[in-house]
Amino acid sequence: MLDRVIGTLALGDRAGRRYTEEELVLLEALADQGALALANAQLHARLREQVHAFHQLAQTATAAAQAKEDFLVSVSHELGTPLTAIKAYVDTLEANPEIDRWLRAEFLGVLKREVDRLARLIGNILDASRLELGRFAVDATDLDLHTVVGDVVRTVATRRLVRYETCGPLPVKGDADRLKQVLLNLVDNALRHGPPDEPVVVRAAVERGCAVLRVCDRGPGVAAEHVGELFQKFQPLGRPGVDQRSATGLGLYLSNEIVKAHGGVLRVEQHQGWGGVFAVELPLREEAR
Amino acid sequence: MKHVLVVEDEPSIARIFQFHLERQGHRATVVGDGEAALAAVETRRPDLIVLDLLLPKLDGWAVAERLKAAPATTSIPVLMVSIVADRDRGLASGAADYLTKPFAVEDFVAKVERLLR
Repeated sequence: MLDRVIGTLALGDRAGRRYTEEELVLLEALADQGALALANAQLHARLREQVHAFHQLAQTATAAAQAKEDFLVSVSHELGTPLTAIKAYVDTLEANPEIDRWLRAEFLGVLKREVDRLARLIGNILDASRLELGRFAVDATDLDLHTVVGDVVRTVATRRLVRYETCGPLPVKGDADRLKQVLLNLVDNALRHGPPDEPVVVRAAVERGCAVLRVCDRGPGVAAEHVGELFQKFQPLGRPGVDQRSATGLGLYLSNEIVKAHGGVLRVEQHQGWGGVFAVELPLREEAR
Repeated sequence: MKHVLVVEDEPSIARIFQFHLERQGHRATVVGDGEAALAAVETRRPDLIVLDLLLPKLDGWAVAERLKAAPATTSIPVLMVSIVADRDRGLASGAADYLTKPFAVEDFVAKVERLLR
């Protein structure tokens, strides 16, 4: 028997006759049975809903687990590459103390680059995780984007040819470190995708009240059908047939998020004679517009 | 002097392969993608191919498949080197040996010497 009322069973006799004790007992038993059946039906419906909800939860969990698995595979591959180089060069230097100082300097140079690369990859992974948790901070101050570009070009140009076509000061509000991170990433990508003997060009312009930086290479560019997925996490295949291994799949995603956090836009453009052209557009400070 | 073709798109790793091969008294040719590998084999038949698997243009699996399918190249030993620990698949696809990255340099040298013997 239930301990609560879930409905009412109303009966009456047309002739106005009163029910007998036996009839009332029978009716009570009938009402109890009906109530139980009704409660069961309600329970079933609730159970069905819960099973459905559980199913959905399980599906979400599976998708999340898959995403996590993909993330781990992608990350371990990415970290594995510099790690392989570091181990091989350290092994080599250790086992061959007689190698001359030129070779030693060359190998130490490689080691330094690969350690930097590893540090950058780890930084990207941490940033991506901060973004996911909503803890990614942009510390904006008044700055000149022209100086930021200059710093980045000087850092990179010790290794490869990068040409900066300036248009003078570009006063914006932004986080200098984060914007450097974006530019470094774009320039690195351009160097990787462009032919080794061609310089990467960073071209600055002022357009419609915005500072625009275009990072241009003479590589194969980005196929139109891949532009959409370029800024998603773990999409290192943006340039099919050219590179399936070198990007973290995080660099462009993070760059895009950083630029968005500055109220700007990161986009891929097509320019005659160029391959990949990535444009960063940031609003100029009010007084400069 | 034996001739080894290194197919590796990561310049720093290709360079260290080359260093050790030359140190062992071999001649090394380095290419950075699968298509260039097939072209290099056609130009000059190597005694051994060190083959990375994740490569631009044509991946290492496809390169191995084509090498094994052509009578002229089927007997060239291939040492697969990859970050993917897939030794069984590697050997099944015709590789003579398989090395997982990160690797110990002495393992690389030992495998190369064994395959060139």
